[in-house]
Amino acid sequence: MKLKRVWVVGIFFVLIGLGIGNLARAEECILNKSVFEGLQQTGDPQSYLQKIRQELSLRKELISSVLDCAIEEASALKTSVDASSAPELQRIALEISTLLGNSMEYYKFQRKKIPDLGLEGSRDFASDILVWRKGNYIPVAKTASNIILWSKNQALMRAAKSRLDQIGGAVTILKLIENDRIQNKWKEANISFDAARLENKSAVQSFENFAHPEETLASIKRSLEYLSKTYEVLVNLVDEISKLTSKIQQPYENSF
Amino acid sequence: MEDIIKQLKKLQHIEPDRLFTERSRAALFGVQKSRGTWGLILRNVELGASFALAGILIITIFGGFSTWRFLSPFKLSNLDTTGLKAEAQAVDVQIELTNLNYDEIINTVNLESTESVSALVKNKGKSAPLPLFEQEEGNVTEGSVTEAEEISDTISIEEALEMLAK
Amino acid sequence: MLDGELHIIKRAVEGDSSAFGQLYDHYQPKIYRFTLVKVSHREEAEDLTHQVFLKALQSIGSYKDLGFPFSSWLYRIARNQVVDYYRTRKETVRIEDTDPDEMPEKHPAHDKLADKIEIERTQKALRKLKPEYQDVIMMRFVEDLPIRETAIALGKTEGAVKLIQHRAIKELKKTLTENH
Repeated sequence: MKLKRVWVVGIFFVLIGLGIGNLARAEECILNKSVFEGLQQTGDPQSYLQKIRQELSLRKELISSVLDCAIEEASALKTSVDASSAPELQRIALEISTLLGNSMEYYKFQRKKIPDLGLEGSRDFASDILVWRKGNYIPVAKTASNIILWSKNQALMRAAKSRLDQIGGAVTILKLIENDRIQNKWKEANISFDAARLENKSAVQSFENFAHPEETLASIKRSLEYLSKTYEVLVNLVDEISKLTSKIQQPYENSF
Repeated sequence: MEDIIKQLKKLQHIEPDRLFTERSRAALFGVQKSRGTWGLILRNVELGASFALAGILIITIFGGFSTWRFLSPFKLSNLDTTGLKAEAQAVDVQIELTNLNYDEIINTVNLESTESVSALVKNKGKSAPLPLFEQEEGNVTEGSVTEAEEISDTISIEEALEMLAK
Repeated sequence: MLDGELHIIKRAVEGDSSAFGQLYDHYQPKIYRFTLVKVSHREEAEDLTHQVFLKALQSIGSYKDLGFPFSSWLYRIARNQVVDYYRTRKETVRIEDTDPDEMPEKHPAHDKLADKIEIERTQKALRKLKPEYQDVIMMRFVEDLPIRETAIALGKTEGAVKLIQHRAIKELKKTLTENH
C-alpha cells in the first residue's frame, strides 16, 4: 500500500511537470494547488475504506487533469492548423480542424463521467480513453502536425527559389568564362532543388490520399533534406564565384 | 500462397493495345521533336545573346570604364552569404523539428517506458513531452541542467493514462 | 530493370530520345497494367499511361537517381496521375465503391479461355482491395519490382512494404475464395 501511495504521489509530481515550458500547456494543465495540499494532509489513513476513498479522489483529480491537458493540446493544435495558410492544403486543414474539434468535444463529454467513477471504473475509464486516443486522436494529431510543418516549409522553399534566381543571373553571365566547376555546382544546386520540390509536391499528394502520417512526414523530411543540400551547394557556389570575381577585379583595380 | 502468386503472374499477359502504343509513342516523341526545334531556336538566340554579352564584358573589363564597379554583374554584395547561411540554418532547424516529430511518432507507437520519451526530450533540450506541437522559433531553448532534470520527470498524456489504467 | 538501364537513363536525361524510347518500351506495359487495376476502362488506363510518360518525358531532364530508382519514380508519377484522375472526373464514385462486375474488361486476345477467365477474376478481386494493397501486389508480384524500389515508390519503409504485402495477399486470397 505504501508503495502504491508513493507511486500515486509520483504521478502527481510528474504531472506538475507537464506544465513546465510547454506553450500549449496553459492554466488547465497546471494541477490545482488545493488538491495537492489535500493530499499532503491525508497523513496515514485510519481505515481501508478511507484509503480507497483517498485513492479514488486522487485518481479522479489526475484523470481530470490529464483530460484537461488533452483538451488543451487538441485546442492548440487546432488553432495552429487554422492559422496555417497554405492554399494547397486548405481542404484537408479544414477536415483536420473539424476532427480536432470533435476530439475536444469527446474529451469534454468523457470528463463529465468522472464524478460517477468507482476505483475499478476509473482504471477502465483511463484505459478506454487511451485506446480511443491511440486509434482516433493520434493519427489526426500527427496529420495536423504535418500540415503545420509543411505550411512553414513553403516559406523556406520560396526563399530558396529566390536565391536560385538571384544567383542564376551571375552564373548565366559566368557561362561566358569557361568554368566547369561553377556550372557543375549550379547544375547540382538545381537538381537538389528540383528534388526538394518533387518531395514537397509528393507530401501534398500524401495529404490528399490520406496516406499514413509517417509517409507524409517522410516526404516532408526528404524535401527539407534536399533543400539543405541545395543551400550547401549554393554556399560553395557563391564562394567559388567570389574567388573568381576577385581574381578578375583585382587586375582591374590595380591598373588605377 | 504459391497458387495466388501464379495467378498474379498471369496478369503479366495483359498488354496495352498495339495501336494505342504506336499512337502514344508517336505523340510523345513528336512532342519531343517539336520541342527540339524550339530548343534549337532558343539555343541560337542564347548563343547570339552570349556573344553580345561577351562583347560588353570584354569592353568593360579591358576598356577601363570606371562604372565597372557599379555595373559589374560580378558585384556580389547582393549575393549576401550571411543571409544565405542564415537561410540554410533555418532549413536545418526545420529538419531537426521534423526529426523530433518523427522520433516522437515512433516513440508514441512504442510507448514502453517513460525513459524513452524522457531521454528524447532531455537530449533535444526541449521542454515538450508533447512534441506533436511544433516549437515556435525562438522558443527552442537548450535548457539548463535543472530544467532538463525537471523535464525528464514529465510524461506524455499516453503514459499518464497507462499508469492510471493499471 | 532494363539491361544497362543506368546508362540508358543517363542518355535519356541528356536528351537522347531513343534512350527514352527504350525506357518507354520497357515500362509502358507495366504502367498500363498498374493503372488498369485502378480505373474502370481500358481507354482510361491508356490515357493515364500516356499522361505518365508525358510527365516523365517533361521532367526527365532534371531526373537524377538521388536515392530514387527510375522505376520508383515512374510508379510515383503513375500513382499521382491516378489521384488526379479521380479528383478531376465528374462522377464522384470512387473505384473502391463500385462493383467490379459493372466494369467489363476486354483483354487482348489470349489463347486459353480458362486463363482469360482467371485473369479477369484476379483483376476483379484486385479491384476490391485497398489502393495500397493493389499497389504492393502489382509492383511486387506482377511486375517483380524489388522491395526497395517498391518502398521508395510508395514512400514507405521496406518493413512496411513486407507487412503490407503479407496482408494484401491474405486479403486477396480471401476475396478470391469468397468469389469462387
